[in-house]
Amino acid sequence: MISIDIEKKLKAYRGEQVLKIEAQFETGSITKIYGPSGAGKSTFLKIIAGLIEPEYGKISVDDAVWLDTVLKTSLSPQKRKVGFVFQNYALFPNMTVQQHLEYVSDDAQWTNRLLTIGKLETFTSHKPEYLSGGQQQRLAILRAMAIRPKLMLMDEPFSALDPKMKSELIPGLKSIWDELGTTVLIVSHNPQELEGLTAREIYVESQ
Amino acid sequence: MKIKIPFIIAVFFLFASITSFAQELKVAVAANLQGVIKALGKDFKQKTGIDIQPIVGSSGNLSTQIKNGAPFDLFLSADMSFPESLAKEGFSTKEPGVYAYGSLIICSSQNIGFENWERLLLSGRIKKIAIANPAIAPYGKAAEESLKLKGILDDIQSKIVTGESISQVNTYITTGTVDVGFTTRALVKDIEGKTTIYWKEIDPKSYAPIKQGMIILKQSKETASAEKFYEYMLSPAAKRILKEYGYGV
Amino acid sequence: MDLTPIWLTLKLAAITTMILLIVGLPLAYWLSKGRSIAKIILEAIITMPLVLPPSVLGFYLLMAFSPKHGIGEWLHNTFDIQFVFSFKGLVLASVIYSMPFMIGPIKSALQQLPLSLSQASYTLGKSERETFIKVLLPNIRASMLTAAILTFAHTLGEFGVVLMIGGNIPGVTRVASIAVYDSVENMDYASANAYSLTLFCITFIMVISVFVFNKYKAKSPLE
Repeated sequence: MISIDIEKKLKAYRGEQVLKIEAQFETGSITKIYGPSGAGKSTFLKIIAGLIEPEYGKISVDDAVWLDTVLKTSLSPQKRKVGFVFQNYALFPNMTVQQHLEYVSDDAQWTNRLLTIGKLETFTSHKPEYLSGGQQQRLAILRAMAIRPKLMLMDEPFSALDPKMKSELIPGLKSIWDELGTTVLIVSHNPQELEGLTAREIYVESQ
Repeated sequence: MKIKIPFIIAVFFLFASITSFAQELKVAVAANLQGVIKALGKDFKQKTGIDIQPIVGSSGNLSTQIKNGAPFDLFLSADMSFPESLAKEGFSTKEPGVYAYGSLIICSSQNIGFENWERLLLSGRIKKIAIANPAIAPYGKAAEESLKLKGILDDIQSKIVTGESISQVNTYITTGTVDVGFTTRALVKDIEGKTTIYWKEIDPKSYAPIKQGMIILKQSKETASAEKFYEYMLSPAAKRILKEYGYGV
Repeated sequence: MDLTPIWLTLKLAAITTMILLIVGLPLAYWLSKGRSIAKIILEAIITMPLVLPPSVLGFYLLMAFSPKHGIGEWLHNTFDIQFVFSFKGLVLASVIYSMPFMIGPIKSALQQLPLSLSQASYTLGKSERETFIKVLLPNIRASMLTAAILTFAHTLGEFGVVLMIGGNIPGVTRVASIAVYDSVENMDYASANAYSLTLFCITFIMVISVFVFNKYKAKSPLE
């Protein structure tokens, strides 16, 4: 069970806005996060991951307190170990597909399984600049999966994938999430894309 | 990382190739000696097998460097007062010994005619006159004394170009960047066969004698060799060489 | 022609560049992360040698390390170390004098890397140190090479600082730039020309290679 209650000032194109969210997520659930552009959805995910500090916030995951601005405690992003898929992929230009996964895990069986799910087995020695947009996005997802995350945060993770690719990839991801009991939050603009996958939706808007 | 390795190799290579100068004597010499010291060094090496490495500069600059820790073994000044003041401050154990007497000349790369040089300097023909900085170069001080005695120092002040040492004055003279300059008699022998200069000795009575003194520096790590060189400088062999270069002994 | 000044110059440039790589990388990284007052002041101080006359820097170093007083006296009496008129002193002076050439390009390059790169690494559980070594540095290789070459070439050309704090001790501090000056003073124009030409060729080749290298990377080498 993940409990989140945060408040963050955003510098949006409409002037200063405040992002205020209070929500709970069941362990193992998959939730869609949607809302207007610039509302702060990406910021929301980054706050959970520990990459951005809110002015006020309390985040706890099961019994562990990840963030409490009143008590001034904040767990480092390294310790939170959230699987994070960035909107701009944030791939490492100097590493090949294989090296990206090996950076995280030296379990060859595990990384091969991921490569199969992402259909990147034949691209293992390619660096990101030699991958197509869709392949890059798949790599970003696989890299995040490689840490066997208990919490997965995905920011527009399927935007570059065609429907066929999505229908092949998502079941593979789901089966791993079921094995690990991963809680997943997915930011998406696309109304249909997560149909059937997500149990719940949350609308995020800043004021 | 790929970049570091070539650098490490380069450094090791370079370290290995620098020869050690441990056995050499570092002799700080006033700039007027820059020619004669080579001849003296060669003769000394022949007699004792010891190499000397001269460091040439104005007596004042060398003196300051010594006070700031420069690693010289001996100091051959163009006067007595610089080494005397060093001795007083404890930089040498003995009072300076006189090794030569210097002579001042006026000279030029052009054939001007120095019979009446005092009048010549005042004329429009001469636009730039080089002398060594009197504060740090004793030959410059002597030149200034002579000009003052002849009563023309103030009038030619605006034409004076100051060299930071006799070396620099010599460069100005031989390259023709000045019309005339005051320098050491030794320059004549220095550039024998290389460049032509025209010169005349300045009347020695018009300046205080240029008594050149030397000291062994207390900080020297080669005292035995330094003593040998000190004695050599006072020997008949050295005196013969100094005389060839126009020094009084 | 006595080759010692050339070797001394190359040795000085190589050692200075290596020291600045080791010291400069972490420093550039620290400076690239945010702008506190302390960082702004430090960056200004590091950049000073770019605008300060070398003789001023040399003068202050001479005063600071002269064995007559202060730090210099203490070093001399306790360790028999002297920074004036020694090769060690030249290395110290060169490190200070060439630091902006190492720090500048590297800091710029680090700041141009997307923040999400290091963020991604942190979410994967990697420490700042590991992220710096395995993710950031490999992606600024071009700038690191440029910085190293510029630092090396800049050190080759030192004169004012070296003259002040090194003097002109043959085999110890008489680097090539000083040897040129010394040869002219001795009216040995042949040697002066030989040293000058050698220095010119070495530095010209280095500067050209930096520009050629960066042409293919489409970046200004001075950023």
